[in-house]
Amino acid sequence: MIEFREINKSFKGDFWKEKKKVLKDLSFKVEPGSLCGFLGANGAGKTTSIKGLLGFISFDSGTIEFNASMGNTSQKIKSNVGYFPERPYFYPGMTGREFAMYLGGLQGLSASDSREQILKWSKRLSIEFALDQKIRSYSKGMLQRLGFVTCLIHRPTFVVLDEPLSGLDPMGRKEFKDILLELNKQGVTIFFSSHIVSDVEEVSDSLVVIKDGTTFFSGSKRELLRQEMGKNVRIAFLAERDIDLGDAEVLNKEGNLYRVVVPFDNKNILVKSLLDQSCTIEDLHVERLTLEEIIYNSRQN
Amino acid sequence: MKNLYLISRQTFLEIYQSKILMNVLFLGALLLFITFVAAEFSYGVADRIALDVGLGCLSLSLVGVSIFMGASLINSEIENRTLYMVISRPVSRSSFFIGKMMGLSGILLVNIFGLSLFVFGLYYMLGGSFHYLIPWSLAFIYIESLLVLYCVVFFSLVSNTALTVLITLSLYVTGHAIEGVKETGFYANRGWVQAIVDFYSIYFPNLEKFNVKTFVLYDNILESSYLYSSLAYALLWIFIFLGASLFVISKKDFS
Repeated sequence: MIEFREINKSFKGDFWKEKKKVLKDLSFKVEPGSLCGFLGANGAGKTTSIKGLLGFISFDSGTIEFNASMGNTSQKIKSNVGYFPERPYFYPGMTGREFAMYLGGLQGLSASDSREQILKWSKRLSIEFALDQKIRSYSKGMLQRLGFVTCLIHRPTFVVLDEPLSGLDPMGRKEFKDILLELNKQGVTIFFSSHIVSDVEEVSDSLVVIKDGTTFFSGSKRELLRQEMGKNVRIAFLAERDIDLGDAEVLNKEGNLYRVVVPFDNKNILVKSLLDQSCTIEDLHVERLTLEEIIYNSRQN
Repeated sequence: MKNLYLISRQTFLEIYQSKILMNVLFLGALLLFITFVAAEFSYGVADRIALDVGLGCLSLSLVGVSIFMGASLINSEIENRTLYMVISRPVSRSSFFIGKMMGLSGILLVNIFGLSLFVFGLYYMLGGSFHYLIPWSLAFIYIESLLVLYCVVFFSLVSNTALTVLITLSLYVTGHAIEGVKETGFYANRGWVQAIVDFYSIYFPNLEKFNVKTFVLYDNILESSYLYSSLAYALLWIFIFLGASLFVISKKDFS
C-alpha cells in the first residue's frame, strides 16, 4: 500500500543551532489490507513520519510510494486516506455535525451522503447524542470519537491514526479496537501509531518499530514474536539442599522451591543435572515474551 | 470550486461568530455622536462633516479588521492545527489559502455595507447630495482594505503576529504619508531624501492613490483614467502579495 524509502528529515530549532536529524534513512512497507502498528518511544519520529506521509511537511530526501490503486495524484490519494490526528484539532464554534459535514464536503461527498455516513458512524461510536452541541463543550473522549467519525465518513481505503486510543476510558478503547478490527476485515488498510505496546500487540498483524528515527523492525508481528520466542526455558523445581545450577539464573526462591531460567540449548543439561541431584521438577516451559518485553529488552541492549 | 466555497463559508461564519461586526454598531454610534458635536461648531456644513468623519471611520474600520483579523487568519489555523484536518483532505494549500481570504473579504464587504448605511444615511439626512465619486470612494476604501489584508497575511506567513501587525501598520501609515512628504521643503532640499522617498513610492504600496475623500468633500472632478489606473495599481499589489503568499505557503512545513 505504501512504502517509505530512505526518508531523511532534519529540523532547525533555532537560527544559531545545528539542524537536528529526526528521521535517518527510514524505510518500511505497509502491505495492503494489513493492520499495521507503528511503534516507537516519544520522540522517535512517528508523528514526523505521519506528517510527511500526509504532506504537512516535506522530507529532505527519500520517497514515499503509494499503491497505484490509491491514485496517481496527491488529491486522488488524499481522497482515499482517512486521517485521525494525535490531538483533536477542531473548530470550537462549530457543532459536531457542522464540522463533520464540512469535512465531508471537502472530501467530495454530497450532503445526503455525508449525513448518512455521519449518522452511521456517530451511532457506532456513541457520539450521536452530542452532534448538535458545540465542539467547545466536548470532553477529550468525545473529541476522539468525533475525530474518528470524520476520519471514516468518506469510506477511505487507507486509514492513518496517530495515537487513536490516548485519553479514552477502557470501554472506549475496546470500542475503538473492535472498530479497527472490523474495518480491517472489510479490507481497509490501517496504519496506527502508538507508544502503548499492548494495544498494538492486541490488534495489529504487522509492525513497524522505529528507534531514533530509523527502522528498528518492519514485518509481521508473528515473525517478531517467533524470533524472540524459545530463547530461554523457565524451570521450577524443589531441592532439599544446595545444588549446582551451572549457568542457570535464579529468578526467585521460596523455601525449597526454586525458579530458574536457562538458555534453550542448555535445558537438557540442567534438567539432567537436577534429576541427578534428586530434585523434583515442578514446572518447565519455554519463555514467551510479550511484545512490550521484546521492545523494552531491545532498547536496553 | 466547491472546496473554495466551503472554506470561505466556514471562515466567514467563524469570523462572524467572533462578533467583530459589532464594530459597525459601535462606530455607527460614534459617528452619530461626533457629527452631532462637530455640527454644533460648524455652520451649514454638517453634511460634509458627517461624510468626512464617516468615510474616515469606514476606512479605519475596514483596515483595522483587515490587520487584526488578517494577522491571525492563517497563523491561528497553523497554531491550533485545524489546518491539518483540512489539508489532509483533497484540498490544495492554494485552495485553502484563497478560501480563507475570500471568507475574510466577505466579512469586509458586510462591514463596509453596514457602516455605509450609517454614513450615507446620516449624510443624506443632513442634506447631502449624490456625488459620482461617492461609489468610487467606497470602492477604494474596500480595495485598500483588501490590499492591507493580503499584505498582513503575507507577513504573517513569514513572521510572528506582533511583528506582522507592526510591519503592516508601518506600511499603512507610510503609504498614506509619502505623498505629503513630497510637498515638504525637507524633501525638496535634500537629494538623498528624494531618492529614498521616490524609491519607496515605486517599490512599496502608495496608499494615497486610493484617497479620493477630498475630491468628494469639495465636489471636485477626478479624471476617470486616474480612477481606473488607481484601481489597476491596487489590483497589481494584491496580486503581488497573493503570489508571494501562495509561494510561501506551498513551501512551508506545517510542523
